Amino acid sequence: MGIISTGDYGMRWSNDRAGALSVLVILVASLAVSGCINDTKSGAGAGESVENVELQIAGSTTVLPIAEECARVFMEKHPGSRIDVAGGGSSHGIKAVAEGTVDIGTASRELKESERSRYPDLIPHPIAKDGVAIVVHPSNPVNSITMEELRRIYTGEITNWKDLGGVDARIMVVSREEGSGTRDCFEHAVMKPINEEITDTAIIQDSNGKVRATVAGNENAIGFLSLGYVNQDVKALKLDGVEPTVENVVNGKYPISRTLWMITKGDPDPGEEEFLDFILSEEGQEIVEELHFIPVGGRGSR
Amino acid sequence: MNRKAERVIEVSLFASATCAIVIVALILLFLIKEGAPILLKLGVRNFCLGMTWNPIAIAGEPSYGIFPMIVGSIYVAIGSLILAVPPGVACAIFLVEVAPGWAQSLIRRGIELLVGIPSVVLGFFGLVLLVPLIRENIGGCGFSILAGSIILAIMALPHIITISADAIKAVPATYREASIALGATKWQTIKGIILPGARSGIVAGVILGMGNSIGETMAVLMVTGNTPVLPEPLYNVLEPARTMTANIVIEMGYAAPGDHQQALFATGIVLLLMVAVLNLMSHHVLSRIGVER
Repeated sequence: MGIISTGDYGMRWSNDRAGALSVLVILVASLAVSGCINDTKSGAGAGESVENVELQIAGSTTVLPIAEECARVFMEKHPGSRIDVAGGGSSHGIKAVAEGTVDIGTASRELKESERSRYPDLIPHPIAKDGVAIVVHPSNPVNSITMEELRRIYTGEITNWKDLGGVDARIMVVSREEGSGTRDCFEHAVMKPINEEITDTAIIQDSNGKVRATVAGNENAIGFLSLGYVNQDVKALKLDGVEPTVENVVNGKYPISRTLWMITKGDPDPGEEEFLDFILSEEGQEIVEELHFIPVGGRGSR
Repeated sequence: MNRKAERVIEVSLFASATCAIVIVALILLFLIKEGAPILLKLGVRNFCLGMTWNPIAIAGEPSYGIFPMIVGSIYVAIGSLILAVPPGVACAIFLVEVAPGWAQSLIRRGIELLVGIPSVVLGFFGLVLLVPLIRENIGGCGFSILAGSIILAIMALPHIITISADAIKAVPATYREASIALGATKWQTIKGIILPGARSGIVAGVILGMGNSIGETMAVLMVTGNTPVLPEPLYNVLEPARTMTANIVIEMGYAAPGDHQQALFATGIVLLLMVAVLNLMSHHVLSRIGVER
C-alpha cells in the first residue's frame, strides 16, 4: 500500500529523486511492518489478547507432520493467527529455539547433556509418542525376529537371511544418518545395552521415506522406520513375538519407542501456551493419532 | 545531470561487484571459523586421513575421519568422467565438424534440455530405476559408486560437450583447409589436426567437469548408499560409498552444536579446497590456450 502511494507522489518529481525516495520509503515501510509484528507479539505476551497468535516452529522432520496439521487446524479455529512450521532436524530445532530464532523448537529425541548445559532455560513438552518398527521386504519369509538376532544383524555378525530361517541371500542392512532421532531411538533400545555400534557397512538413508523406499525395493533389505511410516510397501517384523502396534507401544510391551517434544525457551508465553494446549487437547491428540503417532496423556513434564 | 547519473551507475556497479567478492570472503571466513577448531583439535592429518567416521559413539570416543569420503568423492567423480568424456567429446566433434545444420540445432536443444533436468529428479530416477537395475544385472546391492558415476555422467555430459565444442571451434579454419588441401580425409583431419589443436580446451572442460562432479550432492546422495567406509576391495565400484557433500547434507540437520557440527564444516573446507584447486587448474589451462592463440 505504502509503496504504491509514494509512486504517485514521486511521479511529480524528477525520476532520480523519485527512485531514491521510493527506496527510502520501502525501507521505512518495512521497518514499520516489522514493528507491527513485534507489537502483536508483545501484546500477546502481555496477556492482552491471545486471539492473534504468531508463532514460528522448526525442528524434527518426524514431528513435522504433527506440527503442520495442528497449525493448520489451529489457524482455522483462530482466524488472524499465523503459525509457520519448518523442518531442519531435531538439533536445528533445539538450537533455533534456544537462540530465539523460533518460538517453539521440535525434537524427536531428548535434549543431550551438552545441550542441557548450554541452554539451561529450555523446557521440553512431550506431545506424542512414537515407536520404531523393524521392516523388511513384503516377500521376505521371515516374520519374526528376536532382539538378540536384531542386534547381531546390526553389528554385522549375521549377514545371511538363511541364519534366520529365510532364503540364502546376503542381508542388506539399512540405517539412518548419525544424529537422526529415529536412529537415536533405535540405538538406545537395541545397541546401547550391548555397547556396540551399528555396522559401518550399513547403507545410510537420510529420511524415513527413503529408508522405506530402499527396503521396498530390495528383497534382502532390513531397516527401521518410525511407526507412522509403515505401510503395505514393507513388512513390519514382530520383535520377540510382539507386534509393533500403537497398543503395544502404549502398554510398554514393544521396546523401541520414544517421545516427541516441543520445546520452549523458559515458560511458554500465552501464544505458545495456547498452541501447546491445543496439541495436548483431545482434538490435537486425535490429529496425532490420525497421523499414526501415539497420543500422550496430559502434560507429563509440567 | 547526465555525468552525475553516469557516476551513480558506475559507483553502484562497482558496489555490486565488490559485494560478490565480499560475500565469497565472508562465506570463506565463516566456514573457517566454524570448522577450524576441530581441525586444530584433531590435526588436519588425522581428520583427512582418518578411516572411521563415528561422530555419535555408543561405546568409546567419537571419531572424525573423512578419508573414505574423500576417496568416495574422487571415485564417483572420476567414474563419471570415464563414462562422460568419450561420448561427450565424440558428440562435440560430430556437432562441430560433421553434423548438418538441422541435426546441430536438434542436438543443441537436446543438450539444453539435459542441463535443465534438476539433480533431484535425476537422483530419484537413479533410486527407483538405476539402483535395482544394477543390483539385478551386475551385482552388489545396487547402491554403489557405479550408480553415482552414471548419474553424474549424465549431469556432466552437457558441460563437457559445450566446452569441447567451443575448443574445437577455436581451432583456426586455415588448419582444416591446409589439411584437406594436402589430401587428408575428414577423419584424418579430425584425428591429426583438430583434436590435438583443441586438446587443452577439452582438458580444461574435463577438469571443470570434475570440479562440478565433486561438488554435486542431491543426486549422488540418493544412489550411492552413503556408507562411510572404503570400498572392499578397493577397486570394487559396486560397493556403496559416501561423498563429502553427502556427509554434510545428511548429518547437518541433526548434528548437535560442538565437535560434530564443526567436523561437518571442516568437511566443507576440505571440499571447497579440492574444488578450488580443480577450478584453478582448469582456468590455468584455459588461459594458456588463450595465450597460444
